[in-house]
Amino acid sequence: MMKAAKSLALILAAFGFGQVSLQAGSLSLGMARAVKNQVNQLDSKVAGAQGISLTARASNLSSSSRVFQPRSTNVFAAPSIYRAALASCQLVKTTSDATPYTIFDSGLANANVITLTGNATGIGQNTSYPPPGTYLYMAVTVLYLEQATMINNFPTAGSSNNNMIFRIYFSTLAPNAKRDILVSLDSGNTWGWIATGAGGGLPWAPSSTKPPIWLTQTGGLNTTGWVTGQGGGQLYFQSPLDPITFLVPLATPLVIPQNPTGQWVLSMNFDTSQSLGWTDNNGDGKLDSGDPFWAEQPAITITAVNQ
Amino acid sequence: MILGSLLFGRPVHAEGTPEESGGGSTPAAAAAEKTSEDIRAGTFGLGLNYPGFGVRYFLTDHYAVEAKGQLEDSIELGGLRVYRYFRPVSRIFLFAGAEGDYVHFKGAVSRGSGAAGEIFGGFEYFILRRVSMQADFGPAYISLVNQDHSASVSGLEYVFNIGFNCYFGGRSAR
Repeated sequence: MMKAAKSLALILAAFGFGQVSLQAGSLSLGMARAVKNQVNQLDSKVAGAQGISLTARASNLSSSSRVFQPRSTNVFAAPSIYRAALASCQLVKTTSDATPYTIFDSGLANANVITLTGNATGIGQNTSYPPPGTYLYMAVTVLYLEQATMINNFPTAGSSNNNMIFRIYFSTLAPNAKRDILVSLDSGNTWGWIATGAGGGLPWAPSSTKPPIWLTQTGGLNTTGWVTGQGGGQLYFQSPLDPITFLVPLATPLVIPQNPTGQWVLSMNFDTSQSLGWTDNNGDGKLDSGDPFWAEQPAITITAVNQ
Repeated sequence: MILGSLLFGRPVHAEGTPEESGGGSTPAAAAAEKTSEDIRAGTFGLGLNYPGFGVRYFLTDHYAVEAKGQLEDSIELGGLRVYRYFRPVSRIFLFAGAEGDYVHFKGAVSRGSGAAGEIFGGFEYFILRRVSMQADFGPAYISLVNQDHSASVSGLEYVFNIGFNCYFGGRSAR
C-alpha cells in the first residue's frame, strides 16, 4: 500500500500538484461539476453584460461552394471562403443621424478582417448603451470584401479548376484605391489587377454594364452611381465616396428604452450564395476569356436580441 | 521526466515476480495476480462514474479507451478517455491518461457548447476479481462559448473523479 501511495504521489507531482496554485481553478467532483463552475462564470459574464455586441456569420457558404447555378444566361459561383474587412460599424436612427452610436471603429488602416463562417463570430462590442431612441440602420464602413471561388476554365492558368481570390476595395487604403478589384491565384500571396487587355495582366474585362451592386446605400449612392474609369491601362469602377459607408436596415427597429438593461446582440448575416456572376456567352457553364463578370450583392440581414 | 518514466514504465502484466507485484504468497497478492490476469487486452468494462457512465475497452494489456458521458444540471458532456495502466500493487492498478470532451450546457442565462480536456492520474482498487472502484485526479482545461458567441469563458479546473467498474470478457485466467 505504501508503494501505491508513493506511486500516486509521483503521478500527482508529475502533474504539478503541490506546485501549481489551486487558485487557478477550483476542485470539483466530476468533469460535469467542473464544467458547471465555468458555466456559472459565463452566466455572470452574460448577466453582467451590457451595451451592444455585434456578431457576424455567413450563410450558404458550405452548401453552395463550387456549385454553378445557371440562371438564364448568367452563371453564379458561391465562394468557399468569404472575408470582410470592416473599418467601423455604427447604429443610426435615421439616414441623416449626425450622432451615430459606435459599436467599433478601428479605422481603415486597422480594419477588422472577419473570415465569415457558418458560426457567428464576435466582431465588436460597446459596453455603453446607445442613447434612448429607435435605431433603424447600421452604418458599415467597408474597406474590402474578399472571396475565394473555384473557377472552371481559368484562361491564364491552363488548368480546368482554379481557386481564385477576388478582393474588391470599397475604400482607399494605399496602395489600393476604392473600387479596385484585385485577383490572386496563389492563395493571396500576390495580387494582380484585372486588366482590360493583353499586357496588363488577365485577359478579362470587368463588365462595364454590370457594376458591382453589393449594397444599396440608402439616401445616396446606388448602383446607378457606379461608373467605370480608365487608369494606368486598367479598367476600374469608381464611386464619388471614399471611404464608403453603407446603411444596412435592421430587420426590426432597435428600440433603446430610457433605462436599458442586459445586452443587445446584433447578428449580421451575409448570404453569399450568389457572390460572383458572369455572362456565360458560349453557354458552357465556365468563365471564359471575354465573359463579362461582376460582383453580386451579398444579402445582409441584421437582427437584434436583448439578453 | 517522472511522467515519462511512469507512462513507459514496466507493464501491468510484467514478467515480474510475485514479490514485485505486492507480495509473495499473501491472499492479497494472489488476488492481484488473478485480477491482473483477467484485465487484459479485449476486456470490456462498464462503469458508473459521478455523475455518469462509461464503457471501457482494453486495446492491449496496458492501454484502454473509454467512451464516457455525464449529465448534471443541464450540462451534458460526452468524450473519450485513454488510459495507460501500470503494474498492479496488491489489488491496486495505477494509471494515467488523458480525456477530451464535447460539452453542451444551459445555464441560468447562458447556453451553448464547448470542449474540455484533462490529464489525470489515479488508481483502481479491485474489491472483487472483476469489480473495481476508481479514483483519479487531474487538471482540466475547459472552454465554453455562449450560443450567440457574444461571450465565452475558458479556464483551468481541478477534477476529482470517482466511479465503479465491472469487467467482462478478455482472456481467460491462466
